[in-house]
Amino acid sequence: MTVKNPSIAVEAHNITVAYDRQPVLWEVDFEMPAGKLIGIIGPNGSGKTTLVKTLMGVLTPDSGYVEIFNEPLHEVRSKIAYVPQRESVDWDFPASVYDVVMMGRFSAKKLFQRPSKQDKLVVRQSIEKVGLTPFIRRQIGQLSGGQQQRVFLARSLAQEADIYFMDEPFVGVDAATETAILTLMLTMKDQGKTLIIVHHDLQTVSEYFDEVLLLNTRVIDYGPVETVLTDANLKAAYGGQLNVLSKVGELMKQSEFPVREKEFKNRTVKK
Amino acid sequence: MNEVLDFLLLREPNILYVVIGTILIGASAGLIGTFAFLKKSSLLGDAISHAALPGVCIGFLFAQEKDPVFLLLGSFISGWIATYLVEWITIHSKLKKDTAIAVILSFFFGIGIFLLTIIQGSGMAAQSGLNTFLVGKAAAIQTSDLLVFGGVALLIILFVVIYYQPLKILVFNRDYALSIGLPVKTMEFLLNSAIVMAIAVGIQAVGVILMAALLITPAAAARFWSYRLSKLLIIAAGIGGFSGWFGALVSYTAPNMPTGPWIVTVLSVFAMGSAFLAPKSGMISRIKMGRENANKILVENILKTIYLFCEKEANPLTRSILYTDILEQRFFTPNNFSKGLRWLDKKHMIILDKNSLKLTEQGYEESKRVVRLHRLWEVYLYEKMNLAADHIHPNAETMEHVLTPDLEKLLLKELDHPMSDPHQSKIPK
Repeated sequence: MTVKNPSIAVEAHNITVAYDRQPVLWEVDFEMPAGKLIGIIGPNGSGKTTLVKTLMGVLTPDSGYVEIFNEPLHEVRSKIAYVPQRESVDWDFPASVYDVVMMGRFSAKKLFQRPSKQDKLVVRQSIEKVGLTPFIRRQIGQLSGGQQQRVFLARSLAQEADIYFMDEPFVGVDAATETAILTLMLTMKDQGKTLIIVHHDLQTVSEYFDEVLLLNTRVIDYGPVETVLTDANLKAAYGGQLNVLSKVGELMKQSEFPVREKEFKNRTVKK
Repeated sequence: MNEVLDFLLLREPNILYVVIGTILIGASAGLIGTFAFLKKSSLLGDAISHAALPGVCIGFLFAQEKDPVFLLLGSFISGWIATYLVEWITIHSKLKKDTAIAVILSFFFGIGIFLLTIIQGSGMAAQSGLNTFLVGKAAAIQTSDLLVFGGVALLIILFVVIYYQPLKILVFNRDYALSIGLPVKTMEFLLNSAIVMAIAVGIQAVGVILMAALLITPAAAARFWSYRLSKLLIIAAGIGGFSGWFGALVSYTAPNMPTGPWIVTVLSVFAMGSAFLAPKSGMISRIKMGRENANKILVENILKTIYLFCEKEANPLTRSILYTDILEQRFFTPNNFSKGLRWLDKKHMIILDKNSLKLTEQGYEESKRVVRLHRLWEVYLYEKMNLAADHIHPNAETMEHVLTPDLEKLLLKELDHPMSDPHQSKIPK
């Protein structure tokens, strides 16, 4: 019997995910502490977005499981906030800044309730925190890239969560937005929030994050920035594909093998 | 003419039923169609409508009469099968979605026509009027059918009203909906079912061939008028309801007319009218804006040219400037030149003489403003963007017409109130 550690925010246990039988994540296993600013980095196609989506239960892994604050995901949904990639939605959608941020106040449990005074207050405050109050009634398609990213950020703030997952929040934003986002992240960390951020710019990693997870289909290394960003690790992550693994994947795709045999698919029972 | 009055004044109770029924059918299609439109599955809607035909025929064969429940059930089931098949083909084969839609649409429609021909050749007495499902006949709806159709339409409207918020989140950002634990699969099933249902009740009035228009066009027209989803839904429902009512009017007053084409024509008028007339995003207001901009550029350029003559005068307002001198300084087409002068005269910026002009006080101020912006922008390009002095003029030519008073203040502050531009010309105060 293992004693559960209360300071663990996210635990990923042997996660494997495959698209079209090509493994995207392979036996990913780690524990992330609470109250830290953590980066997930790796080359294009290394499974960063897939990992974040799996951690949040947007994708179901082919094997393995995720626990948040030592609880299964569906018990702690309200403690999680999500900032998806900006390009993942259609910004022509008929909604204003206020409308989108208000989405942050809805949860599966109170779908049919009208927004309360408290909800409206939190929405206004969240918009103010990201500096979008002058644009509050504007249609989201008429915002700049940086402003759109801030809309998503404000929505996650409105969720009032404990863990924030953000997928490439710094992509395609202006310098002012980048600074604003970073300042906001540091404030959130000071309030004891956990921030897990997909990032691709190696230059800024040591400047932004406390810990980093170096990913390329499998976990290359995880820990404090200075111990992870070694030449050997970076070479392992960025220096080409794993030959045997990609060949196995190719083979499985061609012959339509399942990624996991059935009895290993489900969550292993913990004693 | 009498029939039209009968219809408009609802003189017979059965007209009232048809009117209520068709309005409900049109409104529900417009409402749920807005979500299909936002989900970008307009074409799928077309495939589902065509796929409803075999269902109608099979429903008829089952009941041996035009029982509304069987017809509805038949079209609902075959519509769902079509939806499912399109998805299945997209996921499990190399074919893309548009190919899958085209294949399913023609396959189901083919089967439908095949069954319809068999039924019509069978000599069953009850079959007469089944072919109205092709192009629609609103007045053929029986009062007893309307209870079923109207009920289903009300159900769809209720569904959208109750599930408004989760549907909005789902359609805007599916991953986010999953992350907050919404029952996405169930909701997608309900939404698709509502779309198929709306089609199943709508084909009676519009017919399977044109049904997609009743689903999608209201939303497409409404999109020009509002960017708020709630208003969009209300406008789309209104347009859908009105076209339903209009279809019934045509069908009642001219029984031999197919209703579908009429409804679609009305819808298209709405859509095209919106595309032209809508404020801001409509074509007419955009053309108007373009002309206003062109005029602004023209008169400001003329003013700027005039200013060059007055610049060095001790008393600029007394200086009379020949037209030929202006045209020598800068080229304007004769047409544009006289048009620009007329406008400036009308606004009391200049006083025209026979072949010369003088600036008025306010004309002088305005010309100073344009030249000031031009030269300020040149300083900005030169100092802040490091462009060479001989490269900045063309860019400043455009920017002077764009810059607002607010930006002017910002420029002045950032450049610390410069005295002259990179060409050593004085910047007028």
